[in-house]
Amino acid sequence: MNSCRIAICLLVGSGLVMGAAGHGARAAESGSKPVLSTEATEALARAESGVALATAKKALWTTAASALAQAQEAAKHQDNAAVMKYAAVAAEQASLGMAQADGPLTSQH
Amino acid sequence: MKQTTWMLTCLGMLAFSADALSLSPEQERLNRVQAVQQKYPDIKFEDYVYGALAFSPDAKAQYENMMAFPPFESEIDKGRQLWETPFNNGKRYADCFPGGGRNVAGNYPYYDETMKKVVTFEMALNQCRANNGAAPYKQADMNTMGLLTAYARTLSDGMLMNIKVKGSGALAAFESGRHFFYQRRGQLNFSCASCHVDHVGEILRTEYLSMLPGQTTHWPAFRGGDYALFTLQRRYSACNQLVRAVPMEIGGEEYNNLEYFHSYLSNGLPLKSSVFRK
Amino acid sequence: MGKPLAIVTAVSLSLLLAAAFISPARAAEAPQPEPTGQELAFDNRKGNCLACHAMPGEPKAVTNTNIAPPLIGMAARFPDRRKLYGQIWDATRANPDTAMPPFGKNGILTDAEINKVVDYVYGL
Repeated sequence: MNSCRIAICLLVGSGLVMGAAGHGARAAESGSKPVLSTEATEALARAESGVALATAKKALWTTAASALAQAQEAAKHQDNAAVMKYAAVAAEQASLGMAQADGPLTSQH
Repeated sequence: MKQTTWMLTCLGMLAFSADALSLSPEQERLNRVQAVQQKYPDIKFEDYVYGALAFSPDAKAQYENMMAFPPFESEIDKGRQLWETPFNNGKRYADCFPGGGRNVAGNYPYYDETMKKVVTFEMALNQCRANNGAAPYKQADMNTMGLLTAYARTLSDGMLMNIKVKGSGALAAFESGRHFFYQRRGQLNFSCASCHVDHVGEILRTEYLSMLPGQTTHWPAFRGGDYALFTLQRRYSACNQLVRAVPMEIGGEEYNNLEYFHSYLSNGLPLKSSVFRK
Repeated sequence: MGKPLAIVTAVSLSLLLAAAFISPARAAEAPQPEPTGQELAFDNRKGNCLACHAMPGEPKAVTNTNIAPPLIGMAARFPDRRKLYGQIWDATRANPDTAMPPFGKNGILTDAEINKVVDYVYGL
């Protein structure tokens, strides 16, 4: 009986510790980094304007669009590294699409 | 400064002459037909409407069998109901077209000088709705516009494609569609022509590549194992997506101009709607 | 149930509980097993070589294609490995009208993935 109480106490206790730890981690995340880093914010802005330009030029690739969506999703979770990674892909794929639209036509020979 | 101006003038003239050198629509069509004839002398011109099936007697025989009793007949019937149901004012779609809508689809798309734009058959159907007090259908909606065309276009089965390009506005729209067809797009970097001009009749993994002339004659199509309804422009959208390009709007100016060019290249070939395709 | 046994059970349950908390995060971070050169070559989201190239010496390669030259005797055809790498990276450099996608230039494959494909194709 007693041993069972100890066991339950241990279980509940460990659960509380885990919960507190999880909460602490989240608090630390939103506390010390409440917003996106300047770098990530700028990278995201570059990607968004690149995709907007490619869209206006009717030269947007699906890869640019989906990378931008991933960057925006990462931004919601303040995941700076992921924002930087996906924003860079989006910006590059957008600019490749625009360059392609100015390229030569095929099958002209 | 003077030198720069001179160079710019030269460049401008070069650009102009390159533009002037682009082929007339009819020359472009003849070139594309002749190229297919040279590569495949045994395939008759009128069989270009079968596209990829023209290269495979087996696949063509299967197609003929299926078309004897199309498994998607009930879908075409839904389209017939849409076509025959009168508007609130008592008028019908048939009242909007000469001959009650028989043998008209081969005249679309045409270039409308007043509106200064290409008008597709789908736009004409929506115009008919608007003229009779009905809200337009979304052109990408296969359950309304798709089904309506799946019946309405069958009224033009057998009509020869008869697209006209006259005047500078029409020519500009044709050129815009032409440019779309030959421009590489998407991460995979294909133009429409990369496959359907440069590699006609060759096999992409397991599928023959159809020839450009004839490609617009058999739409809409019921495709694949589930007979999904595809209008021509839905097919454009799917193709663009496959090469990883964000598709244009179905019913938008880019695809309308593409359809104008594309349909002209099928001139002289007979229409047949609501067919099976892989 | 004896006391020591109960405590051991409780501790191990706690550990299990902890593991259950931690493992989803670990699973998300765990890298996927790296695809081989052959897998990259066959995968139609990646190299998709078989869409356009037959591989007459490779029994696993299922394709009817006849669009581009079959991939066979590659080491003899490309004595300079860099040339084969360059062809896959951007085939439009050698032939502006080619239908072959520029796998490296357009970011379809990473440089590391192209190297794996080159290694695989080189053995064909």
